[in-house]
Amino acid sequence: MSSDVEITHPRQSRRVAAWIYAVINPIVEGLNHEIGFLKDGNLTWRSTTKRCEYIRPMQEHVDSRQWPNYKDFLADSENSIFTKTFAIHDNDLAGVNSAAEAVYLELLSWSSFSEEVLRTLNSYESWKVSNPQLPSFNLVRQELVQVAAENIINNVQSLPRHYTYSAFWNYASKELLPFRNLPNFPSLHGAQAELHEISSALKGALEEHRLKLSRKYDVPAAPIPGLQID
Amino acid sequence: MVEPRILLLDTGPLRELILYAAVRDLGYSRLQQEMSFLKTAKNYENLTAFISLFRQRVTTPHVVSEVSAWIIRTIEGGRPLFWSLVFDELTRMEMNEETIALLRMAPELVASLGATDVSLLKVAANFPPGTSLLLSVDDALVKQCKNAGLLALHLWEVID
Repeated sequence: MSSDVEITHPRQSRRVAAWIYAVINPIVEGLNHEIGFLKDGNLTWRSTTKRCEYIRPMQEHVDSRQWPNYKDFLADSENSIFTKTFAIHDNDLAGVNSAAEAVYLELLSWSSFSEEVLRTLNSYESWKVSNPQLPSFNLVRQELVQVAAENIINNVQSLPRHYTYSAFWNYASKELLPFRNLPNFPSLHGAQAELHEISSALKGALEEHRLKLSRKYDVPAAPIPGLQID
Repeated sequence: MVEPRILLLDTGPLRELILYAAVRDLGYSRLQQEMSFLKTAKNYENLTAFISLFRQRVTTPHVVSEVSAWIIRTIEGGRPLFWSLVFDELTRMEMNEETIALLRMAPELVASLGATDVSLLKVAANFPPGTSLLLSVDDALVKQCKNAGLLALHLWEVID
């Protein structure tokens, strides 16, 4: 009898470890952030990129060096359910991005909106007279309308003071955020609710799947320093 | 007297701002231990209020490189999202980057302070006197600036 102690691991355990550490865990973490933002109604949508900054297609939560593991994860029959649900998520996200862009363009082309932003700006500039340390936004009126539209879409209540447009937005948000109740918003709210639903379901399903894989292949749910999976 | 209107940001204050936003907006609670200065909401409020007093915010590519190296060392999972936050933070505070080539720096100063600190010193010296102020967590750099007649503050002086 050999004195060597042989530790045998179930077949494929290294591959499953790659799925868990490089694919499932970063996606679950990304979905956590995503759900938090969606709960607050903050889409993190940016007019410059026409997409949500912190709400991403599934693959983008994974480090690009790990994309082969991401593809391997989706290609294996063990994980086949996620091919479809990831696609639903990404499709819903595309819906949110296009709904947000549509609302943004509508707001910008609607004269009552820019008039209201500029009326609020005039009120801010009058108030600023007694607060001379605050910046003036008279020279960036058009940008201000765009910033206001983006903040309304993202339900931004206030901005940190070091952001360039914070002085105006923190003065004006209460007056401008009610634009979110206008008739052009329900399609965006609907798309957002659908995304929230699939994201929550996906997060739960991935956590459950991780537990199943972890038990079946004897792979811890997070890497343990010093523990090698051979 | 000329009021400084340009704020030069060194790696320390920038890193603290990014960390604070990462903990607050992305829920990276494990990064809280990385924060050495912005321990309370009041500290953060004081820093952002101070920055808001300046019309221009400037840093150097050397500082950005230090932030980048720190991210690579510190953030293992979720780097794409973390970098988004960095871009977002710099965009929203309208940060400019001023380039100072290494070969235009005094070698003895680089040997003593390092290229990042010298880049900030050179940028500060290039602005008209009294128009810029450097914010850092590096005592030696703050002292060096003051000795050179440049305005500089340690982060503690702003957030306390």
